[in-house]
Amino acid sequence: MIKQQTNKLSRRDFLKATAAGAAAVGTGAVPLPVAAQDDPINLIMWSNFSAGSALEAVDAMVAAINEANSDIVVEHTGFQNEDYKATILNTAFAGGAPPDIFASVGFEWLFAFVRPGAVLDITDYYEANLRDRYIPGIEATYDFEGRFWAVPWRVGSTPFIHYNLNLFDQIGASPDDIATVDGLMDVCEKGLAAGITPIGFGNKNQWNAVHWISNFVKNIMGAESANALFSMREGSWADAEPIEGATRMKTFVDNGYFGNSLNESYGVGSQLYWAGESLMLGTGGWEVSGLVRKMEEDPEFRGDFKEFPVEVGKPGLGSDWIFWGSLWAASASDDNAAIQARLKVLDAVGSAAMQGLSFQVRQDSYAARGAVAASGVEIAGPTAKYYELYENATALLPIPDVAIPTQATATMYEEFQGMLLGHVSVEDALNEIADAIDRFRPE
Amino acid sequence: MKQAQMSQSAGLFRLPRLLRTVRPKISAKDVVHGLMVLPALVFYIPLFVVPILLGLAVSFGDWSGVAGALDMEWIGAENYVELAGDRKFWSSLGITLRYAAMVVPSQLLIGLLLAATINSGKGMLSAGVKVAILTPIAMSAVAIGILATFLFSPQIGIPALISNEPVDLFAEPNGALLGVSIAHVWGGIGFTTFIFLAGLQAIPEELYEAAKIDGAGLMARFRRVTIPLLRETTIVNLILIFIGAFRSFGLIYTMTRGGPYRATEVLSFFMYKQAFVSFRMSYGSAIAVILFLIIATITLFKIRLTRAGTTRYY
Repeated sequence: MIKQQTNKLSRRDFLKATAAGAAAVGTGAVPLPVAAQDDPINLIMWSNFSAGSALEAVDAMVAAINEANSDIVVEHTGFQNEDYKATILNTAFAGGAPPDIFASVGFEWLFAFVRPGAVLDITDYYEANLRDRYIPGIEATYDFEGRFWAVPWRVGSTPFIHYNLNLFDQIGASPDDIATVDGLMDVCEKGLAAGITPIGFGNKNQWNAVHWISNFVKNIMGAESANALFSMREGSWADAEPIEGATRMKTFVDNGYFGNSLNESYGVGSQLYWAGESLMLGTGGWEVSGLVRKMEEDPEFRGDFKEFPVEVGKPGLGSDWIFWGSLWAASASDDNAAIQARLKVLDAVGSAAMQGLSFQVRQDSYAARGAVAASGVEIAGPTAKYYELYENATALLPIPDVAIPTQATATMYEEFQGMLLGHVSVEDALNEIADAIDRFRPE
Repeated sequence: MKQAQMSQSAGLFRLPRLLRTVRPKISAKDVVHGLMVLPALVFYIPLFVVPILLGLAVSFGDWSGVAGALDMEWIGAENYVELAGDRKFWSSLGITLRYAAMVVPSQLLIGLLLAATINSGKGMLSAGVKVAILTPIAMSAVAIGILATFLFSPQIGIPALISNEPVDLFAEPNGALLGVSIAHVWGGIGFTTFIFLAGLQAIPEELYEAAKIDGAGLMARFRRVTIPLLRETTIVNLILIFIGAFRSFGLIYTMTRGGPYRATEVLSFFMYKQAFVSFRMSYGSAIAVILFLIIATITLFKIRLTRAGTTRYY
């Protein structure tokens, strides 16, 4: 979707134009409207960042791109995350009017648009200009059948637990206690005894539980087997170990460790933690930025985070993390000018300079080497801890809700939530998921 | 006295003598009728008929719905065969029927009572009821859904007012279906009421007076005069409410998104999920075709019923 830029007319300009037009009509000399060669190309950019620091970060990048490039004008629109993922982008593509540039959440989701040829193949440009930019292993998130389809913006890990040290002190718990799952359960029990919600959660939108269950499953199976399961190389979700992992999660729900937040949105669930009403927050790397802000705004708030606990006697999560990813991609086009304009934007949003700019606004994740240095942000406090963990990440593993076929994703989401709310047994839910994955497993 | 029959004589438009001797199969009246519907067809065919045919074609293919429809692989009736064995499809159909079973009688009865109230009421009562039931007509399903969500919210809605331990209606499968049904009835009651009102006002006052002279009381007049003479109006309302229940989507999307655990996943929402969430546009189209056939069958049934019993007041 490319439009020539149109400038708003002032009243004076309108009157002038009307007078000139009238004169031209009067003399019979009305030229055909021809767009000037040097008119900038408007590019429509959509994302799932509609509020808060993520929106500020994107808007800052877009302003910088527009400032630096007189031949393009990027217009960004951010949509509410769930609507964007569930309806807005799909419908735009289905209707044949996708945005020029779009943010993609998750990897298999992007590939659903890649398969029918709706996404711009950037492989040649990537090989020539971008390949060396990014931290190792990250390419798996946008490599589909040996071709590249996006540039990474923010990529991070999910298995974190944030905790409120003030509340921990109040109930006599220590962060060391939550190094194991059993220890975490003990702390939750102490919280319940003190009348405090143990973990702010929020799974109304159904993706958060997928992360947690994946962590439990991986804890029990070990990284290698879990990787094989998640990437559909071997094993089934209906096997004993995934059932054990899912049952662990169910136990947390049944014991009331998530309070009433399970059927709330992620925003409502996490707000319990930020308001000091829950001991912990089960979440991912993206909340590190929130922690930095919270501690700036409220010096009394003492928050910290650590890696997801391990199961005693089980292989554990290992050093490789489950990643989530935010990518930028472009819709396909036959128009060379359009392609060049889109590549220019992808090049920019994937650069260390732009990711450094967004890092200034939102200090959580990046993908380009040198982004942190380019940001000029002094890495300290929670961010320093996060980046120590981040830099130590050794492997990349797509989270299962995006690694499994898109057609089966909805089944996984609803079966997990149905299982946690008690509408279906753990075994039946996982059987249903396994069936759905088998039905739509890529050949 | 109302005369429902139209004159059978051509009357208005007469063909030239030569053409009249040929006795054409298409009469002048047909031509005139055709010309009169032509402007509507200009819009109806591209906006309704063509998309329906395209949807039918897509249902016989394997298309994700994202792009490249022209490259769609034709797979024959595979989507329909899969539907026949899809537990979720049958479950959605069952939920839709349960939803209709909750909505149809409630909306019909409440609509009739409200219409009767307005018809017999005077002044403020009648005006107040009219305003109250007219308001939802002007609102979209999404707005009604959002309002109903607030209304049933355990934090700020009716449950919070009537109980110390407010119940979350939407946490339980039956409760959620009930909640959406109530919102549906509330949103549609105005239209139902006004159709009934039109039917009530078309009943000649003389019939009530005659019944009164014969000694019929209020209830007897309602049973013996109003109900029989509202037969067609009732059938129209019944069918419209039924179709409305089968087509319901906006409320479900806004209030429950089909949950909890598919408890409110009516057929139209199941279709949406397949087409737009799971990227299975062809499968979704097959569901749409089934939904269309169900609604078309109901509509034909309605046409037969109303044709069979046209009420005339002689």
